[in-house]
Order: sequence, then structure tokens, then C-alpha cells
Amino acid sequence: METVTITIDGEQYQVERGIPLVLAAERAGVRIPHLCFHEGLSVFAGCRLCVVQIDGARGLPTSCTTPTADGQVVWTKTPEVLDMQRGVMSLILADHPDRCLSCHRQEHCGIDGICLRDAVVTYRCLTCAKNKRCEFQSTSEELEMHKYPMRYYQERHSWYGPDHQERAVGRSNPFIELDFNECILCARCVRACDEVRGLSCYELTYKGPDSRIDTSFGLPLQAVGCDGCGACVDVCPVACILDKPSKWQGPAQRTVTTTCPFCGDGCQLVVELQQERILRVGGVKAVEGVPMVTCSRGRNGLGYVHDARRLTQPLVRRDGRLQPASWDEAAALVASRFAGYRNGGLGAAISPQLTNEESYAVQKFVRTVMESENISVTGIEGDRALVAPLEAALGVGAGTGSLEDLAAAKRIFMMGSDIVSTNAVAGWQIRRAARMNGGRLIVASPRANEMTKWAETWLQYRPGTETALLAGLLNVMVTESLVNAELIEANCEGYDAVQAAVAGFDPERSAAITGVAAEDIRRAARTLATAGGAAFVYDAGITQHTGATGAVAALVNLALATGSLGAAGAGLFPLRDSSNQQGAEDLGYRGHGGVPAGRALLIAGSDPLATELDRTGWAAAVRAAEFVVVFDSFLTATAAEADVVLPLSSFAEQDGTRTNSERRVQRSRAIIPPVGESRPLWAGFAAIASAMDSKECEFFDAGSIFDEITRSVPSYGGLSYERLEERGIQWPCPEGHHPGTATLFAEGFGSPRVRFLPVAAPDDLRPDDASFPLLLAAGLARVPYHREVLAAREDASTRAWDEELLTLRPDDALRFDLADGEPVTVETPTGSFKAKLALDDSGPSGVLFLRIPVLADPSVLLSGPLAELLDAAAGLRLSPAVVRPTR
Amino acid sequence: MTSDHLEPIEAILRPYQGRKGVLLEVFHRVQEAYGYVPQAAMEPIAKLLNLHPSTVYGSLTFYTEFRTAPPPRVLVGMCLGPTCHIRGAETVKDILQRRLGLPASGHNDDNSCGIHVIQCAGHCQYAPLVYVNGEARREVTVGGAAALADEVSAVVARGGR
Ligand code: SF4
Ligand code: SF4
Ligand code: SF4
Ligand code: SF4
Ligand code: FES
Ligand code: FES
Repeated sequence: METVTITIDGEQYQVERGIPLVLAAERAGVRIPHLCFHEGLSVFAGCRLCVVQIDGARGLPTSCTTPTADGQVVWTKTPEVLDMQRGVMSLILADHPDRCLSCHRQEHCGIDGICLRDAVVTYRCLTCAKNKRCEFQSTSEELEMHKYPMRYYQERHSWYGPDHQERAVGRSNPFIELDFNECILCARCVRACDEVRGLSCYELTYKGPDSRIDTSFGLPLQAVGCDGCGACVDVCPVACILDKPSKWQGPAQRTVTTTCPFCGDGCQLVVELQQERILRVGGVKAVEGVPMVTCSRGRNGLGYVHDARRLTQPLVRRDGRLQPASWDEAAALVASRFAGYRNGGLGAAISPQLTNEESYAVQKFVRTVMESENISVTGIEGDRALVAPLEAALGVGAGTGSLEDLAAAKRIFMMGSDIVSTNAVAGWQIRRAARMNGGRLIVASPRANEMTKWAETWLQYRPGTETALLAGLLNVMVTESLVNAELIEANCEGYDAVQAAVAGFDPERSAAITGVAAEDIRRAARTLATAGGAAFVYDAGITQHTGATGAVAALVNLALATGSLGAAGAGLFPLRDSSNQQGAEDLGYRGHGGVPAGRALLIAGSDPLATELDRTGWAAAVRAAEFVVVFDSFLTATAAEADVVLPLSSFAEQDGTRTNSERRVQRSRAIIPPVGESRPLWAGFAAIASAMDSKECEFFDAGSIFDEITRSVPSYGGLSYERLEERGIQWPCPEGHHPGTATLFAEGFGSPRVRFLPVAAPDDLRPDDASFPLLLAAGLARVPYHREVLAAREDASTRAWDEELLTLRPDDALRFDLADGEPVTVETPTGSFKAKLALDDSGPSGVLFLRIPVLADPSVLLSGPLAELLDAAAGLRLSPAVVRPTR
Repeated sequence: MTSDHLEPIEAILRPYQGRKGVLLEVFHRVQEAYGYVPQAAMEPIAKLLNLHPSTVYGSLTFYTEFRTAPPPRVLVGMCLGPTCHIRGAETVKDILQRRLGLPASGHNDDNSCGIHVIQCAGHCQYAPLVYVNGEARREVTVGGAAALADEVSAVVARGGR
């Protein structure tokens, strides 16, 4: 960072060169009033409030458009500046319900007081939803507007003028309420939705005195693509755009930052609390100019922690029914039964959403007390496969770069499902790179989605042909000598074999298998194989269908061939589906997600009976087991079958850490007291172990478990809660002063040499049987398998997921004489199932997509037509198929 | 919109496929075909140009010559450009609006008559300038506004002819 020295109001400051003066001043602790400027958004310069005086400059320049420069002498509080600012404020106030802002009695009024000026209720801050948390209000107070006469009253278009038109309040969106009557036209919402979220739900419409913020034709937000991320809520300085559920709840009593429990992006959530309840989540924070945001899941999905159906005490099966019991009783029962399954008799499965401390405690309990190695992680199939090849090739089982560097990446290759719906915030960073920073984006995906819209090249391949496509790309690089030969020679093994393997996959052959145009394959390969390397971003969308690790291994080969490892904004970026899949693996979990073997079962934090693809296998295992213990926050489908159910504290009620997709270990904080008698997993196991007279699991608090972790996991060696307080640290961080590692291999590969990975020759998946002319691709819909998320699912954000299970292109439907919404029967060589057909032109031709939903209500899953469909789909994934109307 | 006598929006947009910087041209073409640019055109136009529908709408409303609702049968175009403004066009508009009994929105409920504001029409020498169904009326001063209003009322009574 280059710094310059500037003088503000007589004091000297060292500030970053070239950033907006208003921001530099703010960072130096001098506030210049401003309304349209917002850190992390582009500069709009519409409000003119941020004026200052600068020696040698004419007039009063706006400080948001003035970059810092060496030797600037700036005055922010001169009478001229203040007079101008008050003039600007009175202009804005003229079109704002301002009775309280301009009132000298401000301090004396309360919400239930009688206004001595008889101001109408809707003209008062005191009765406004944003009262006491309003940026415009505080700016007005800062400039003491109530002490100065208002200058522009009764203008035609002013709030009190004859042409003032009231606008209807938009109440139909479940997350956000819109009331543009207070709008000051700062256009922050327009910029936030466009630049942060990547949509443009709002726009400045009309012009001059008629200007107003609106959606297309005033449609409700949900009709213009908004998914409720709340970026606009966080930036609106007035009461126009507010979280609907908490709109009238006033300001927070307390604010805590914690890590989102949902996906592997690991966003920091600024949680606002009142009376030990989560009030709202928010706060766009900019870190070094890049806006940090949350997606709709993190923002709107936390309500489950206060759900009335939370388990508040242990349940023990007596007379065939689960009945309340005390912790002592339950722990004693589990201890006495578990004693009989030592030495391999117990199988355990944990959720990949648990904290590192919890995962560690379960593992320690199962390995040392129970002497069993049968532990697996549940969750989305294929998530583990995302990094296993990286471990084999590079010796590190994790992504090599930093998510925030993606926003500045120059070349990005993205493969997988719709990342905006699975790992939203990472997706937005990529979109930022492509849209605002000149990054070249290539998206490989069978179906159209938000990312394909932003791509320079979209490689639309047939599901299951990932490796053929990637072989085609590498083939072009090899034949056109675009690979980084020097680097390969010096550092890599196994290149010759890989080169030989892709020799047969010229773009034409690859095109024939994948359905992608050969020219597009060539073009993409040339774009990716340029100096500086590329970022290869992928998710479980590519490991669900075929020989799981094949596509990832091929991506590793591409990354090595293009010399992409080691530079910021390049490398391999596996996006994990769940918040602590990476952490669980760092702690040694290698389970592949199958049903663990054991006569007794321990299931912690997940609901495999309702959410695993292999539900039938799980149901059989649970039924066959002699003793089943489930730890969960809710009475899930799996818990209902258990012998003992122990109440689990949610993410909000316990301290701990989670490790995200970029290896960043972050603090998760206890923000509310435990619900009922629920406990963190480690506390539960401490109780059970002590009832079993074991000294192995004497856990007292999360912090001491973390210390234990840092002693046993070398790459975590230098971490401590203290060091993680401010912001997480990316491993490897081997010792106490190590700053962590943003990008792996930045210092080169060292020895041992890294390896290219053999990839089995891709199958040609074109249907060869005329009676099954279509390809059926079954995959899980966005997978909120954790019960906690299931509860959250019952809000409107996810209701839509239960629709449109089976989709086909309209032109294909025409061939088979099928209509939208028609009940159909899908037949495959191994069986058939019924479903309702939805037409959708986002996929390639000849492919039937079946989305396997995860439903909140387990009874729907366990019987009825949907269950039949799911059972059929579990065995299918990719299969030749034919579809007929059900008659 | 896709009823028999109107061109389907897809057909209108087809020639613009893959072209850049054609948004205004597209608006003109759509307005030509339908008399206005309907809400239903936002999504297809947005898709064509890889924009968000709200962005399309923002541009659409920026230009006063585009209509977002079916035009009234009698359309009074009122120039409020600088010269016309100086010569009292605002007051002329008020008088017309009042005498024609038009609400603040500028449209009758039955869409029989409506006032649309245009910015400088390029004939400032004749300011204030008013168009009645596309036909120019020159120098409609405050004094002449009432007479014009009566004339327009008569056209409205004849159903726009
Ligand atoms: S938006 Fe802010 S300034 Fe305006 S009335 Fe509400 S609290 Fe007061
Ligand atoms: S919530 Fe997000 S997507 Fe919706 S309008 Fe606001 S910024 Fe755009
Ligand atoms: S709605 Fe809020 S953010 Fe958007 S322009 Fe108006 S005041 Fe600014
Ligand atoms: S992107 Fe992932 S981590 Fe971030 S808020 Fe959404 S679900 Fe949570
Ligand atoms: S903050 Fe500078 S013009 Fe609005
Ligand atoms: S201002 Fe009306 S024609 Fe120019």
C-alpha cells in the first residue's frame, strides 16, 4: 500500500494514496458527512453532502470524488463547508418527512409522547421503523439541522408540496419491505444489488423531479430475481429497505460477529440481538474495499435456533416410546450400553456442520473410549471427493487459494452446479472479477444459471462427460504447446502418462462426447493457458455423477499444466458445501459418507434418514442396530428411531471454530444461552465418558479442546482463540507468530515433487439404445441436510425448491409430445418412476434432469409417491431413459 | 400481446440478436408495434441484451418519448423544454389538465385522453408547443390554453377523430 501525507483540519495523517478522500478521512478518524458514498460500492457523487475545502482547489469539491494525493491540505469544518452541507441537507429534507429532524424538542419526545407541534405520525422519526438506527437521522443530528431554518419548504415536489405523491408500501416479499417514501435517491441500493449481489433489482427510473427508485414496472422483489441477500438493506441510509421480520423491532441491544453455520464460504455474520434473541443479521462490511456480505441463507436462515420444536431435554426409549429423562440418567444409560460395544462395535456418523471442537471430541471419544475406527461424515455426496485428489497430487487436502482473491482473478474456469445457489458469496466474488475487474470467466456447466450469464464462454456439456471435456482442454494445451513446460520439468511427476492419455482427445472427439463445440474448447484452453495461471473453481456438482475423483484429478492436471499454483487469484478452489467439511477432514475424518459399520450407532448432528441419498441403506442400518444414540437439536426422522436422543446446542449457543473452503479457521461464538438443557457435543461426550469411568474425554470448555487440536494438528499449531479473535487465519500456521497462508505454494513447490494424476479414459455417454433415447441425470438439489437447516427451510426462501423436480427442454418435450406440468412416467433399463414434468430450456438437449429435494417434513419422504421417486433416483444418477405421459 | 393481430415480441427482437448498443432502437421498434413498451417486454429485452429487467425499465422511463402503458385515444403532447417552460408551458399544462378533467397522473381512467410531457421538441421558435395526436399546435400561450382545451374536448367526444 502506497501512502501519502495529507493534512485534515490542521492535523497530519498518513493515508493510502488515491482512495476517496472521504474514506481516507474516515479511516483516520475524521468524519466528513456523506450519504451516497459507501465503502465497497462505486462512487456515485449524487448527494453533494461530502464537500470540503482544499487549499489550492477551487470551490468546494466533493470528497468522495477527490482522490488522496500527497500534501493535500483539507478543511472539513469551515463556515463555508458547513453552510453548504446544511443547504444540501435542507434540500434533501424538503422531500423527507422531517418533522422530528427539524424540531428543537427532539430530546423530549418519546414514542408515546404527544407531539407539541402536532406532526402527523407518518412525518415523525419517532414513529419511523428506522428510528435510532438511521444514518440520515444521525447525519441530520450531526449537522444540527434542527437549529437552522429549513430553506426549501413548500416547493412543488417537496414532501409537503402539492405535487407530492405517496408511494404504496411493498409488503409482498417475505424478507424485505419496501417503502420508498423516505427515499433520498442516494442510489446505494442500485449499486449494492448490481455490484455486490450481481443482480440489478433496483434502478433509478424517470428523471428530474420525477426520479424514483423502482424495480421493473414496480414489481415485487421476488418477481425480479431477488433472493433476499439483504445487501441493499445494509446500505440504505433511511427506512426504505428493511428486513421485514425485524422492521419494527428497533435497534439491537448487542451485536456479535460469528461464522455462518451453513456453507463452506464461511461468511462472517454480524448478528444483532435483543433479550437473548437473534433480531436480525446484517452489516455489509468492506474489508480493504471489497464488500463482505452474506447470502440469503446466512441472513434469513438463523431463526431455527429459536424454533419452539427444539429439543430441550434428553429422551430415552421406555416401553417403546421416547420419554423425557435427566442428563444423568441418559448419560448413565448410554455409558452402560456402550460398554458392550467397545473395540469396533460402534459405528459413528457426524455432520460436517459441527465445530472443530465438537468433531474432535466425537472422534476422540469413538477412537479412544470406544476403540472404533468406524467414523464417517454425512452430507452431500462427493464433497469429500473434492479434495482427495489434491491430497494425492499436492500433498495438501484443501484448496490452494483465498476466496477474496477470486474477486481480482484474471482468468477463471468454473465447473459444477449453480454456485450462486450453493456457495453464493464465492459466486459473487467471481462475478465481480468478471463484471468489474476485467477477469475472463469460462463456465462449464450442463445447465444455464447465474454464472453462465456472466461467462465469456459457456461450455454446456452433457452431465457425466466432465472428464472428456477436461481431457479436450488439456489436449489443446499440449498440442499447441501452451503448457508451462519448464515448471512441469522442474517440479512434476507423471506428466508423460497424462499427456499420452489425453492424446486421443482432440477437441473434435471431446466435442462429440460432451456436446460442446470444438471451437469453444480450443478458445477456452487458449484463454486459460496464459501466463499468470487461472483459478479453477469447482463444487460437488462435478463429483456427484461419475467416477467421483476423475474430474477433480483432471482439474488438478490442468492447474499444474497451466502453472496456476502459487499466484494469488489462481489455483484450485474446491467450494465445500458445508461449513466445516474442511475442518472435519483436517482433524482426520476420511469417511466417505456411507453408513458406518457397527452393531450400535451414534449419529451426531445429522439426519441421514431424511437427507442422505442412500436413505434406504441408512433406514435398514438404524433398524438393524441394537442400540442407537442420536445427538440433535430437533426430533428428526432419525432421532425418532433412536433409543436415546440427546439435545444438542445449536451453533449460536456454543463457542468453537470452523474451517472454510479456503482453509480459514474462524471463530464461532456463543451468542445466546443454551436452549433448555441442550449441550455442545463435547460436553455430552464428557458426561458419557466420565460415566464410563474414562479419563480420556475430560473436556471443560471449547477453548481447551482447541488447544488440544493445535497440539495434534501441525498445520493448526500456531493458532489460538486469541489470535483468531479479529479475523480467522488460513492454515498452515505452524507456530505462534506465523501469519497463516493465504496462497499455498507461493514460495514454490519445494520437495517432494508434485504429481500429475492418472485419469481413467472418459466414457462415451451417448445413448446407444434407441428405446432409451434420453439421458437421465439425477442430483441432489441444494442440500441442506443438517436438521438445523431443515427447520430454516420452512421459511419462504426454500419453499420453491420442492417444485419442478423433473425438467426437460421444451424442444425435447415436443418430440415426445409432452406438455408442461404433465404427469409422466420415466422408464430406465432398471425400473421406472412417476413424476410431474416441468419444461425448462436451461439444460442441453436430450437430458432429463431430476432434482432430488430435501424436505422438511420427513413423513413425506418415508412414504408416498415422492418416496418412490427418491428410491428410484438413489440408484440412478446417470442412466439412459425414456419418458412417457402417465395414462 | 401475442394475440393474432400483434407481432409477437420474439419476432420483433430476433433481428437484434447478438447486437450491442441497440436498447433504444429496440424500444422504438416495440413502441411502434404495440403503441407502448409493455411490462411483458422487459424480460425478453433483458434476456436479449444480458441486462436485468429493472435496468431495462430504468432506461425506458428515462426517455419521456417512450410510453409504459397503452397510449390514450387522444394524446396531448406537452413540451416542457426550457424555452416552452419560460413561455409558460407549465401553466398551460395546468390549464389543459384542469379543463380536460385529467387527474394528476395525466390520464383519464378510461384512457380516452391523456397528457404526456416531452422535452424540447426542437421547434423552440414556436414555443410553447403542444401536440394533439401528433399534430403540432404552435404558440399555445396561457391565454390560448382554454380554447385548445375545448377543441381537444371535442375530439375526445368524437372518440379521438
Ligand atoms: S428514515 Fe430516518 S430520518 Fe427519515 S423519518 Fe425515518 S428515522 Fe427519521
Ligand atoms: S436483497 Fe439482494 S438481491 Fe434482493 S434487491 Fe437487495 S441486493 Fe438485490
Ligand atoms: S431506497 Fe435507500 S438506498 Fe435506495 S436510493 Fe433510496 S435511500 Fe438510497
Ligand atoms: S454464502 Fe455460505 S457462509 Fe456465506 S452466508 Fe451464505 S450460506 Fe452462509
Ligand atoms: S457522498 Fe460525496 S456526493 Fe454523496
Ligand atoms: S423547449 Fe419546447 S420546443 Fe424547445
